[in-house]
Amino acid sequence: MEKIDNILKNLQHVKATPPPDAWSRLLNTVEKHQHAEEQLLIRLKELSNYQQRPPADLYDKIFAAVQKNVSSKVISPVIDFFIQYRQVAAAAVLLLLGYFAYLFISGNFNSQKPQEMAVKPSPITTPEQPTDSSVIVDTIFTSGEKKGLHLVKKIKIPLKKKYYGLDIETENAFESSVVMVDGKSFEIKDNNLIFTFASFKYDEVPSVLLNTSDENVYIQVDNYTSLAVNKNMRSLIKQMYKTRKNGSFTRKASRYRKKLTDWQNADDIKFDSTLNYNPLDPFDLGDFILQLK
Amino acid sequence: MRLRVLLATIGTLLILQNKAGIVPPEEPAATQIINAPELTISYRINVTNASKTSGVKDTYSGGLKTVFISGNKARIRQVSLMRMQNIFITRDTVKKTEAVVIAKESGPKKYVVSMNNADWQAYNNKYDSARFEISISDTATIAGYLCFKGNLILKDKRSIEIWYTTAIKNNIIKYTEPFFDFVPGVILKYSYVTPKGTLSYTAESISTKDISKTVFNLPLKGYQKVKYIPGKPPIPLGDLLNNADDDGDDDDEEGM
Repeated sequence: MEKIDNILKNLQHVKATPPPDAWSRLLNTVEKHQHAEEQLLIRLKELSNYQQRPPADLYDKIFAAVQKNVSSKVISPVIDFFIQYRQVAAAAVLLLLGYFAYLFISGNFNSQKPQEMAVKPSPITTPEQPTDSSVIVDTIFTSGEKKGLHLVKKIKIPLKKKYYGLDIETENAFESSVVMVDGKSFEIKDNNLIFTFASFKYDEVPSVLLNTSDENVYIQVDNYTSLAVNKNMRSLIKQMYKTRKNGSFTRKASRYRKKLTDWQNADDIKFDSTLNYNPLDPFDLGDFILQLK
Repeated sequence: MRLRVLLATIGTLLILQNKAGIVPPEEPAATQIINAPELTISYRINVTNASKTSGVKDTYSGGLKTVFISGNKARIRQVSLMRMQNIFITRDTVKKTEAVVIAKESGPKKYVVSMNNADWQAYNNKYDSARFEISISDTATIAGYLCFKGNLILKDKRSIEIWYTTAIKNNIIKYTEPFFDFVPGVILKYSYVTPKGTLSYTAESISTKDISKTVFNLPLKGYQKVKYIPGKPPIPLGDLLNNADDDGDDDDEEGM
């Protein structure tokens, strides 16, 4: 509890940007997993890698939910401790008061160095660094992913050469095949999110992707990246999964699936067939998606 | 007695804190100049146009483009629903050249393309003869940094509106995106405005903390090596991982 309290307090005073849905996911974890302190700690640690003040209302809800979850387990032993060791407790309180008094007087309370304020979008569960520089370490997700995306298995492949001076001995930081949507993990094939969205079984479609409210829905692709799925895209996904009474897809659904496939083919032709256009370039991408050329 | 305990406690804390070398931190200021040899900037992609129906634009809108820089190495990674693609750049500070690898990491046909300095120049030739116009009177705060406005104009008159800060210093960032080189600062927002809509990239987070070395490693498994020939279809050269042992010559030739 003390650990959680400390992290929550620290999070209240930090200043750069976590994935926009991170706070919502934390609240979701607290509410859904009332006794899973481990889950809670994972979420909190994830947020402490970023540094931004949470939306005030969400922070209050999270704090209230945490207090509610742990109070029944923790308060009683704490009271017992204080009853038994009153003098120690009094000294501890004095110690804390003195410390905070000093901080208050010296004006250091809640302030940080500018360098420390910057975001660290570093992984929550950093893949292990290989000790041997001549191997690549391939990480895969296993059933442990449900407890916070633990990377557990390593496959070592000897590799000594370099490719245009870029190190290829170790694994790439982003090689994974799992994304998180609304707190649940989904396997993606070939890092192809569009294909994945079109290939869910009907009852496996994440409900948030069918939600057509104006607010963006965020997909956590990896520890550095979250994607926003806008209303238009979610409407299209919803249409793609419309079925008849017999369970087969409607003609409209098939039409939308074809539309998606056509977009992907057009994208491949534009950017892969000749390499004359760069999808990371604002002019090339803008001209393509806004269909000027 | 209690007062003595309190005073002794406070005194001990003061001594311990001074011994630990803790100095009062400074208040951050948006205009304070930060030297950032390690720099990570994440730009959120946003596409707006008049159409309310879904289109290919929606598969890119909401995506994230992240620029990672560590020492003389950089990686730009753009992730969207439609496509995940990277550009790895290594700046040779002696030869004043860049060596580049493009890696498409989504879809069944993943590939890597190596480019030498000449290839990279050809790939970005649209920026030849481009010009940058500063309008210093326009300012805005983006991601907590004071930014100035400018416009980059290509010779065919297409342009992007740019917001940049001079509060972050990094020597390599101008070699990452070709148009970054025109700008006297670090770009925190840029927008391609057209009559049919706007494509914008806005910095969402900025970090100056150390970046894991693995970020700059090429992906390997399942990637095909492709040869770039300006203006012509790329030539497949085989699987990258299987041919890795044959790539030693490439290293020597490019000398990155």
